[in-house]
Amino acid sequence: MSWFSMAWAQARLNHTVLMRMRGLAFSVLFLPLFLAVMNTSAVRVPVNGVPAAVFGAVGALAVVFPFTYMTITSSIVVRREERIYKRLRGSALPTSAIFAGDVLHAALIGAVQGVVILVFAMAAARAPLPQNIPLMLVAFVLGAAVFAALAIGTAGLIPNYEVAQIVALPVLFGSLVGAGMMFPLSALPDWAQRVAELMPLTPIVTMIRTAYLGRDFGQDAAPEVGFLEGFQVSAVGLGIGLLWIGIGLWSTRKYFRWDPRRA
Amino acid sequence: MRNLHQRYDDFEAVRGIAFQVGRGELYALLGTNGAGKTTTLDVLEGYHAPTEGQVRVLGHDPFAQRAEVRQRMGIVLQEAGFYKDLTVAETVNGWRRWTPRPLERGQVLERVGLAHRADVRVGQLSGGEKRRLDLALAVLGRPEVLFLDEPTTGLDPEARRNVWELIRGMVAEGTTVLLTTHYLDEAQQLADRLAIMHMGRIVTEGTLADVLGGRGTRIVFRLPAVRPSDLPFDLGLGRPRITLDGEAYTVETHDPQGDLRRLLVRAHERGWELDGLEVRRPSLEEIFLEVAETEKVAA
Ligand SMILES: Nc1ncnc2c1ncn2[C@@H]1O[C@H](COP(=O)(O)OP(=O)(O)OP(=O)(O)O)[C@@H](O)[C@H]1O
Ligand SMILES: [Mg+2]
Repeated sequence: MSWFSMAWAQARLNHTVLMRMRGLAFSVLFLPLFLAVMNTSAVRVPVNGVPAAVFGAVGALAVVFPFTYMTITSSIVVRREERIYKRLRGSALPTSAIFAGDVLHAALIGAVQGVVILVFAMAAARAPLPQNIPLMLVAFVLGAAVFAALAIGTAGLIPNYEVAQIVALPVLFGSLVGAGMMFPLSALPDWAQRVAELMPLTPIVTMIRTAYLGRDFGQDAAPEVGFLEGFQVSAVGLGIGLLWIGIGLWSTRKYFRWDPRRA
Repeated sequence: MRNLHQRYDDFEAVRGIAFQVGRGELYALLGTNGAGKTTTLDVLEGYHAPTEGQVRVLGHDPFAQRAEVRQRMGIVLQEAGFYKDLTVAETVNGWRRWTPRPLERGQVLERVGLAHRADVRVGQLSGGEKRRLDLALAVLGRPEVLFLDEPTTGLDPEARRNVWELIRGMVAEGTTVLLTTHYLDEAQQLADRLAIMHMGRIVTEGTLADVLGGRGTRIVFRLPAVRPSDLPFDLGLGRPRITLDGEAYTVETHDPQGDLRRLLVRAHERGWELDGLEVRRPSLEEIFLEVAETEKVAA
C-alpha cells in the first residue's frame, strides 16, 4: 500500500469526523465563504484604479488560510487529548502520513472554497479572468503550507479544544485586518504597515492580487507586471512565507506532543 | 530485549529487565499497578526509544526502524481514544483503508462479538464493547506480533472467555502475543510463559508451574474461638504453613486434598462452621510479598 493512499485514507477519515462535529464543520466550511462575500463590499473606494469590489473579492481568496489553521489545530488537539493519536501511531500509518493527511484534508477544503470564491468574484464583482494562474497556484500552496506549519507548530501550546477555538479567533481577525485583505495596507500608519507586511498572510494576499490582476500590489502604485515579472516581484513575499514555514517547523520540533501528559 | 531501562524525567519506571519471546509463543507480563508493564510495552511498540538497553521486535529496532515493523504489529493499548462520533462500522472501515491486506469488516466484528453493534456510535458503546473494538482494530491487519495491554479488563466473564478464544486462535495461527494482565488465571489459561513485574523489575519468570513453583495451595476460612493447635495439621517442617489474621486462617499446603479432608472431618466432629471456606492458588499479591521477603532475606 502506497504512502499516498495511506495519507489519503487518513485525510478521508478526518473529513468524516469533521462532518460529525457540526459546529466546527459549519465554521470551517461556510464561514470563509460568508467572510469572502462580506469582504467584497468591505472595500469602499477603488484602489489604484482597481474597482473596490474586485480588489476586495480577489483578496478575499486568502481568507481560507486562517481556516486551514483552525481545522488543523482543532483536529490535532482533539486527537491528542482523547488519545486517538496514540492509537493512530500504533496503526499501520506512518507518522508522516498522519501529518500529510491533516494538511491534505485542510488544503483540499481550502482549494474548493478558493474556487467558489473565485467564481463568486467573477460573477458578482465582475472580476476579470485571473492573469497568472501558475503564480496563483504558488500563492495557494504557499498559503496552505504557511498556515499548516503554524497550526502544527502551535498545537503543542494549546491545551484543549476550547482554547483551540479561541486561539483561532485572533488568527482570523488579525489576518482579516492586518493582511491588507479588507483595505489596502497603505491606509495604515507607516509603522503598522511595516509590521503588517511581515505577517504570515500579507504576502499571500499580495501575491494573489498580483497574480490575479497582473499588477504589483507590493508597491503602492501597483504598476502592471508581465507574467515572469509577476514571479519576480513576488520573491520577497515568498521569502516571508518560507520564513513563517521555518518558524512553524522549529516550533513543531520544540513544542509538538503526541501525548496529553506533559513530559 | 536486553537490559531495558525506561526513565520518565527522573523517575525510572523500568529498571533493567530482559526477556525473549519466541515466534508463536504467548508471553504474559503480570504485575501490580505501576509495575512498569505498559511502559515496557510502549518501548516494544516503538513509542519511545529505550533510555538504556536494547530492544528488538521481529529482528528490528521498533523505534528507529519503525517502518519495518509497523504493518506487522497489532496493538491494544491500555488507554486510547476513538473518534466518538463515528459508528463502529465507520471506524473499522476507516482503519481498513490504511491497513494492508485487512480482514473483512464483518469477519473481524464477528470475531470480537461486535457485529450486532456495527451501526452504533462508538461514544455510545459500553466499556467492554470499546475493549472489543480495540481488539478488532488490533487484529485487522493480520499481525505477526500482537501486543495486548490488559485486553480483558472491564469485560464480563463471557466476553473474557471469548477474547481468550480469539487470542488462542491467533496463537494457533502462529501469531506471537505479548499480553499484560492482573489476573493469574488469565495467564494460566493463555500463557506459555510469564513474568511477574514489580516496581520496574521482573521478580520471577518462567512457566506458570515455575512461577508457582514450590508455592502451595491456600485453604482459607474463618473460624472464631479455635486455636491453631486445635486444627488437624501437623505443625512440623515441610508441613502446611498456617497464618492467622484475627479469625481468618490461611493454610498453605502442598497436599490440599489431604489437608482439606482432615480439616472437614475435624470440623464435622466438633461442629465447627468454616465460614468463607475457599481453596485457591496464591494470588499475585501473595507471590510479590513472598518474593520481596525472600529477596530481603537473601540480601
Ligand atoms: N508519561 C509518563 N510520565 C511520567 N511517569 C510515567 C509516565 N508513564 C508512566 N509513568 C509512571 O511509570 C510507572 C509505571 O507505569 P506503567 O504504566 O508502566 O505501569 P503498569 O505496570 O502498566 O501499571 P497498571 O497495571 O496500572 O497499568 C508508574 O509509576 C507511572 O506513574
Ligand atoms: Mg498498564
